[in-house]
Amino acid sequence: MDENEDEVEVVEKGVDHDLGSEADVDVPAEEQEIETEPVEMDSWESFHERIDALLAKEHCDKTIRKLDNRRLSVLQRVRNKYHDTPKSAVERCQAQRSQIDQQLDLSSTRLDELTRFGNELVTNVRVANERRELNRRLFEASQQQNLQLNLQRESIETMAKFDDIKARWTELEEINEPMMLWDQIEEQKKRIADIMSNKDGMIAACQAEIERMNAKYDFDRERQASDLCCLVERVDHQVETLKEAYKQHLQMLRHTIEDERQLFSITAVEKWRTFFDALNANFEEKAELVRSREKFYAKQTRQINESQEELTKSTRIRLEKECERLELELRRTRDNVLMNSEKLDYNYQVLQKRNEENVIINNQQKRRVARLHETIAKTRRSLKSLRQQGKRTIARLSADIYKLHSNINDMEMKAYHSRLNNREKFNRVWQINYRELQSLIERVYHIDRIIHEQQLAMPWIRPVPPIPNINKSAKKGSKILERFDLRAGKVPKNRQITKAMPKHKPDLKDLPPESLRLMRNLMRKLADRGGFLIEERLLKIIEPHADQEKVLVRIDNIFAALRIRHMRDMQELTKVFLPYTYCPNCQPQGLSPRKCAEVFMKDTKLNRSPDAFDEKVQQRLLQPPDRRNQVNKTILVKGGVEREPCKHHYLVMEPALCLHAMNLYTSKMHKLMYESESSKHANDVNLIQFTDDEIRNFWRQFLNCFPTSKCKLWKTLEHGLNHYVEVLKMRVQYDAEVVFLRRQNEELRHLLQKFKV
Amino acid sequence: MDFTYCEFPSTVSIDTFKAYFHLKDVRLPKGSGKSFDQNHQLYQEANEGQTNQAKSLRHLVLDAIVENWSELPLYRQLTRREDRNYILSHLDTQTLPLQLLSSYIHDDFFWQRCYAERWRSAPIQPRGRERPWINIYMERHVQEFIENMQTVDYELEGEGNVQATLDICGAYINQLEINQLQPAPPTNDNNDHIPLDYLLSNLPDLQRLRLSYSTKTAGINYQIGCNQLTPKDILLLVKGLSQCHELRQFCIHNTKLMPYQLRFLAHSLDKGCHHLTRLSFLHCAVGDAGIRGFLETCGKESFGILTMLDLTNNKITEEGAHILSRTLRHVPLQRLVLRLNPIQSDGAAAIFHTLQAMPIREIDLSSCGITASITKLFMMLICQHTTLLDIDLSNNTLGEDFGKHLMKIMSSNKVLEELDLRNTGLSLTMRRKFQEILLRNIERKRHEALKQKQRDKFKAMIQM
Repeated sequence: MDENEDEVEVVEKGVDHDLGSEADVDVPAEEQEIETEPVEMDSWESFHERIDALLAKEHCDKTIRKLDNRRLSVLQRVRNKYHDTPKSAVERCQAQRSQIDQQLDLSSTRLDELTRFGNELVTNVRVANERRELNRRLFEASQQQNLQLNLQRESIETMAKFDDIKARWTELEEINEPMMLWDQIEEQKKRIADIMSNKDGMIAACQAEIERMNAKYDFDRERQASDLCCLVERVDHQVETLKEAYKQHLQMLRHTIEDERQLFSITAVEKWRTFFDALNANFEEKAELVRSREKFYAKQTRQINESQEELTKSTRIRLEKECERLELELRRTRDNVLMNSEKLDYNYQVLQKRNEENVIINNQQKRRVARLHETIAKTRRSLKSLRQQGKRTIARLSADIYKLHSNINDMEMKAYHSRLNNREKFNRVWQINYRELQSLIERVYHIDRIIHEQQLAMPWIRPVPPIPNINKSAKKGSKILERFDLRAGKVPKNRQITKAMPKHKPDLKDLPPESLRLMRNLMRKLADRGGFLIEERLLKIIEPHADQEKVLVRIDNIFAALRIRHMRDMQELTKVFLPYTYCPNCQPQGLSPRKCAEVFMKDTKLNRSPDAFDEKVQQRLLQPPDRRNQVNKTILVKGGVEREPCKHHYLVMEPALCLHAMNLYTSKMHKLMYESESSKHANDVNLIQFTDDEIRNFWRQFLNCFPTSKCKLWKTLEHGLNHYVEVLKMRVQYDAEVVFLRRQNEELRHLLQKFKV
Repeated sequence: MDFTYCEFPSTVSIDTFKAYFHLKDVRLPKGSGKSFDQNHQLYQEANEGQTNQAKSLRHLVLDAIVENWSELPLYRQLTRREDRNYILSHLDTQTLPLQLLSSYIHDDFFWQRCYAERWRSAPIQPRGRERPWINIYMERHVQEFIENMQTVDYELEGEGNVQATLDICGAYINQLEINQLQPAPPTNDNNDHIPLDYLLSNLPDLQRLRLSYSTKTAGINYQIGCNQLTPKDILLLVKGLSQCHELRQFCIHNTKLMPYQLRFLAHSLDKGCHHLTRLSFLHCAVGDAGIRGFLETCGKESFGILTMLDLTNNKITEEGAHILSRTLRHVPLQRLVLRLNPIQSDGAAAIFHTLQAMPIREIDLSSCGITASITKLFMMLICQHTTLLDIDLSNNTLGEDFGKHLMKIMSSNKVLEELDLRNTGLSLTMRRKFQEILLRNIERKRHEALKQKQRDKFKAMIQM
């Protein structure tokens, strides 16, 4: 609220308010108070009179009064203008609006004006005050300047005088005459007194100034108090008048609303009354109508009554006659009824009988149905048992089939084994015979040669070149197969229960060292990477187990999927994986990126030209294994991996390359498998590769070893030699005889000598 | 209609009540503060004397609760609204401890009653923006607490007393008006007032602060310079202000401020109060040096949302005005008050130049020593500015020619609503003419607003 603000304002100013000068407000000459109020005015105008009266009573500052007067004249003019203006289109337009709106507009404009006026009235005090303050400041500044100037001037003057006096003192020192000195001192004294009086004057002026300021301060304070009084009064008046004005306007508004309401209510009552009258008139008319109708109806009822009586009389007579006739009829009917009832009785009896019969028949049927149900149940039971039996038979038969299958397998195994055995036996017999034959032939030839060389003194020529053994190579192959079977515990591949992995544990020491080095890391990598090869169900099952066991199971499954069953496969795997590994100790930087890139490039190349690759692989596979190894080695060397120095470290592999290597391995193994399968098949079919004829031919070849000429020779030689032996024997006899005779001669000679002596 | 048997009218506002019942037909309960006219009350009392009934058991129980409230504060435990109302209108507001009351009762009616019983006259609240009475009560309570606190007391009791008061009131205080502070006793060497840092930093919701270090009475402690801030005072005030993050209006008045103190103030207001929109230094004798210090401390972006700057009576000369006009360019001020500062025409020219770039609505240049040399610039301002609503040029010597020039171009401005030219040397007739033009402006604006409103209503109807 403005009033409050101004109050605060004045209070605030109270602290440092003092002297203020007369507010020189220019008052236009033509200003005068116009208190003549127009006579015919509404309550609002009469109210203004009161305000004016209130204002007139105020005792306040002259300047404020002037401002107020001006304010009043403005107001007066505005009021006059309000009355003078003719009714324009706007007002006509306003007349059409509702009375409340008009009153509202009027009130708002008038109250606005009033508040503006009041505001101005109150702020006038502030403005005048500010003006005074401004003037005071200006005046104070000039006053201060003047004073300062005076002071400065005076001080300069006195300083000059003082200097003069000071100079004189030095002059005085030179004077020796006492009188003159006295005079001079007196003069000096006078001058000093002059300065002192000047100073006193100055001090007095300053004090006067202070006095003036004090007086002004007091005066200002008083004026401020009176201003405050005036302001408070004005504010109070304004609040009062505004309050009253608002109340009055509220009252007026209320009146107008009331009037409007009255108007509305009158019209409404009028409306209602007309409606009511109309209703009343209507009602009476209706009543009249109803009465006349009532009379009419009464007359009619009477007439109807009379006619009705006549009608009843005639009707009664007619009815009596009818009654008699009906009685007769009744009697007749009763007889009929009697007869009918007897008939019905009879019929009833008959029907009862029939009913009993029906009951009996029903029972019989029921019994039959029950029996049929029983038979059905029985049949069903038998059917069930039959089905079960059938199932059981099927199961038994299937078991039999399995058994037979296994028997067949066993038989096949046995057959295979027996075939192998037979073959072995055959081979052995073959070998024995062959060897015997060979040795015999050799001996014969040896003897023959001796005979030729010693007896006949002829150069010996081998009549028949040595016959090569045609069973040699087959023997070797079968031997390897045998050994391999023994080692790996081979399972025939057409066996049904393939899931049971061979529990035969090959000794790890059988593996080559590099394979061992690799395995440690590779196993885990494979287990981690090759998850897609394992069934998902299995993964779920092994969830709760330890890490070690999980790895084991996973490896097992991955190996099963890759069909790695033997140590041989293991080695193969090692070979394939070896190029992708590196030793973390010796090659801490891992596999060189160049290597990786190379691997992938190779891969893509292979993919692009699968035919070429196939050929290559086939070629490689066709080569004997040692050569293949060499090829592998060359590849390794080409790869530029020197892992010669680290023989004892475990090898590590990039996980990313694992899958790639696995892929390579499977493709390779596939080829290998296919190959070996076919070869195995061949072995199976032709366990003994030769036909009987061949065997017979083979053996018959040996017959040619001894031609008939030779035989004849040998016979004649035998004969000759036999004769020669006889001769020799005779010679030996004769030699013995000679020896004997000689010894006899000797002994005789000895004896002779004895005697001689 | 008889409402004496229940307590409901105490919570219903009179206007609502009036809308439904005619007051003459209604009997209200005694002591609810809502008896409207004398006759009615007399009638009521007479009627009450006649009935002479015994109090109901419920009332007896409620009376007992009210009597023993300090030991057993039952309020929320009562489920019926009527019982609560009875307690609210019968509790003793003066003797019960404030902490107990504030922790149990938040009802508006009760706190209004407390206020009315303690201070009689209640402040006028703007319609539609009523604040809870508990806040008003607590603010007045803290205000009196601070204004009456002696510095010696503060030193003796330490911060315990302040702490206790703030614990109770702190959460409710949104605006604080401290009109005086007690001066230090003359035995002390320095004139330190009570420290405000602890107080201010413990009022988290403080939005408006009006502060004066002056004293209103010259008591035994009065001495020269007790209306000034001492270095310790300013340091503590600044420390407290930098904690008032919610402060929106800050006013310091009737306190002499040194230039170095303004530097501190500017720094803390800039860093601590990011929501500050109104800043006032009234009658502070800041001077040009102070203004320069204040503005030098602010950066380019500081006070970015300031809408009102009041520098009444601060001894600012044209130099200060030049500095102000240079710095205020980036501040979106809506109201600028330079009352009672001798900035002269040059300073006013500088200020006018800056106004072109500002969305200013009100400017107060009264008693600024402006002379007729400003005429041309002022005409330009009147012609070009589109947001200015209120110009106050009273108490400046402008002269008759100024009025004539102004008269020619006055009609080109359709926005201006008020132009105060009192005591400026203009004739009364001229001022009246200006007044008429301005009135026309106002009238036109109102008319346009009405039309706009009708158009909106029409559009809304069409959309419906």
